[in-house]
Amino acid sequence: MTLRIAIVEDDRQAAELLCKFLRRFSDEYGGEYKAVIFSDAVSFLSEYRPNFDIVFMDIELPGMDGMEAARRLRLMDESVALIFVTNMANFAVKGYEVDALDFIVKPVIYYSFSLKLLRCLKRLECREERELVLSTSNGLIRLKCSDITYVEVMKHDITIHTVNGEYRSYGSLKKLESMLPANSFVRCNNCFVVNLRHVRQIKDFEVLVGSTWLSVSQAKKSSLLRAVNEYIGSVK
Amino acid sequence: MYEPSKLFVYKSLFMVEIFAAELMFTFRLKRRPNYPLRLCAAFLSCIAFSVAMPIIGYNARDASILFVILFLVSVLALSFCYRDPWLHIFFCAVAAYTVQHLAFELYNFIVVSTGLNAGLPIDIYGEDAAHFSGLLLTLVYVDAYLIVYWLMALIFARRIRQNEDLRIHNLSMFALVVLVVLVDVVLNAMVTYYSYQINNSFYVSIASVSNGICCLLSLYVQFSLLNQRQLEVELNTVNSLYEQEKKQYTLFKENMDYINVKCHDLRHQIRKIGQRSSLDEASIQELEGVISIYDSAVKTGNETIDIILTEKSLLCSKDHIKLTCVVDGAKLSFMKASDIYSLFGNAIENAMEALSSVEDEEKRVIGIIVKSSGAFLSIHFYNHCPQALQIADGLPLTTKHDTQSHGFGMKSIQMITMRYGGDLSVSVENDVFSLRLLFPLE
Repeated sequence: MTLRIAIVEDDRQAAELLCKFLRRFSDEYGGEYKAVIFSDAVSFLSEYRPNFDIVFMDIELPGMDGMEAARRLRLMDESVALIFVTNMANFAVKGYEVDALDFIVKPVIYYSFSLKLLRCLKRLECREERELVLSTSNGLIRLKCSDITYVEVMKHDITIHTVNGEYRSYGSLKKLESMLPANSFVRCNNCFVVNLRHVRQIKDFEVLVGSTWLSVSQAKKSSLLRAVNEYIGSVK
Repeated sequence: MYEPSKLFVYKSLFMVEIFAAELMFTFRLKRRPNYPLRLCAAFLSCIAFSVAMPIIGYNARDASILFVILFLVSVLALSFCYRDPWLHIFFCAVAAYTVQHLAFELYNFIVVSTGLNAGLPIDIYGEDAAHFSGLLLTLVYVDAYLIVYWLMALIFARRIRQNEDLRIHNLSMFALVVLVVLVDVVLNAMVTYYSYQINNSFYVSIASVSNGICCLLSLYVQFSLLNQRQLEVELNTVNSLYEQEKKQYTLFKENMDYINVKCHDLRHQIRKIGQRSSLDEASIQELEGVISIYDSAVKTGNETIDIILTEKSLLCSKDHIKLTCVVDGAKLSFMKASDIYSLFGNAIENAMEALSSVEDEEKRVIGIIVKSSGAFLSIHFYNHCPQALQIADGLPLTTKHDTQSHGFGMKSIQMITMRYGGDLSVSVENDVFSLRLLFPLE
């Protein structure tokens, strides 16, 4: 699968250096990359389509600066990975405002570049969408795992709560758990399996999943926290 | 008084048993010079003393006194061989006596309950003339003692670390242990002498079991006290390091504020001088830039983080380390300033330490990402780390040699994380070390 990379950089040499590193990276770690260079923010944003996987953005750009460009980018595309490349380290500190993954200091050195790109790739890998086919009381349905907020089980009656509504099914929780991606679904007590993607808050022994508060058992609290820690660390 | 009665023979055997047990527990203590010679001399004098020791009477009280005196003499002999304070030696000796007694009770129990001695208890405390008790009994004796000594060495003696502080501060608890052992000895003597009169093997075997359990419990308590002491020491170290860091933070902040004020004044002066000499704006700004030591400071929205990151980034650039930070400082307002300073300080110092042996300047990289997601705050420290790390109890073991006085940075970070109900996760992948902290927010 080819990853599409956008490089927004006015310095021609710096942009070509990044391309060169991308080639070196793909030689070292495999994978296909297609890079597109934009020399200023306006040209990047004006024809933007959300089919880039990663954007390398310089902060010091002529006209609109990188931070402002990033803000506008986020209005159009919430999920593309963003890495700032800049010598203005102080401004990059605020990268969280635009959900930047990280930043690289200029002049760019290969090791920093590869380390941060690896982090980025791991994140993209974990974000891959999985689908589930289930037999429910409404017949066979196909669900996107990311739409499931949590699964409730009472003996063998399974209720799958999603952003679009509820579905009922029948079977064992264990079997269902084995069909769900392990890095985003975790048990919070004997009856509930929650999707970490939709976990918003944990307070004492309760967890807010989507808009529902569920109870967390004493035994599961620390493992739930650990799962959220690792999920946010690697996927979000 | 010097008839070769069973007790007469046994008291020397007892000395050997006690001495062997004591050696088991004292092997990590600091030895005096010419240790082998001293050890032989001590052993021989103990044996000599035990032979020479007169038997005052054949009853529970006198036998108990006899054994306690022999025990104390052995402790004295040990202090001749080891340089440690006498409380350390006493700790080991009490444990040793408990083990010896346990072995004795086990032997007694086996012999009496299986009827090996024709249902009679071992009358090693007896007045009659000593005689060889037969091959089977001797075999059982040797086996019982070997098994107990070996097991106890495995479970307890191993816990005594080198350069350990064996002084139990909870003296009352320790006194309790000593009392229990003594009582056990006295009670045992009473049971033994009583059983010579009344032939009741059931009663004797029950008494052996309960005495044996007493020994096990008192060993357990004794070593729990030791463990408690070790934990106290660790806690004190972490706390005092934390206090030091707090002072450091205050000092650095004062320095920084003072220097900033002076720089501000200097910049004014430079501007005035520049304008008077008709210098162009660009040159004036260049001169002003030189004076801005802390102006290129980090601004994350949280003053404490700004200070610690500024301090550390100066250190990093001095060490040719590239430190990148994406930090949403405002979200850290729930944490005390001293906790923030300690946590970030330790994490960055650990990373710098890991990089100290890395010569390739390209690889000297540290990254910090602090951002919120929902009602969670995620803190991620990562750095290049060529060494393989061992992880114990979820924390990496220190790579420094002196394991007892290092590794506290991580422990401190863990303590702070727990204080705020957070989670700490450590991982190493592709030569990159990652420390991830998660805090639930209100």
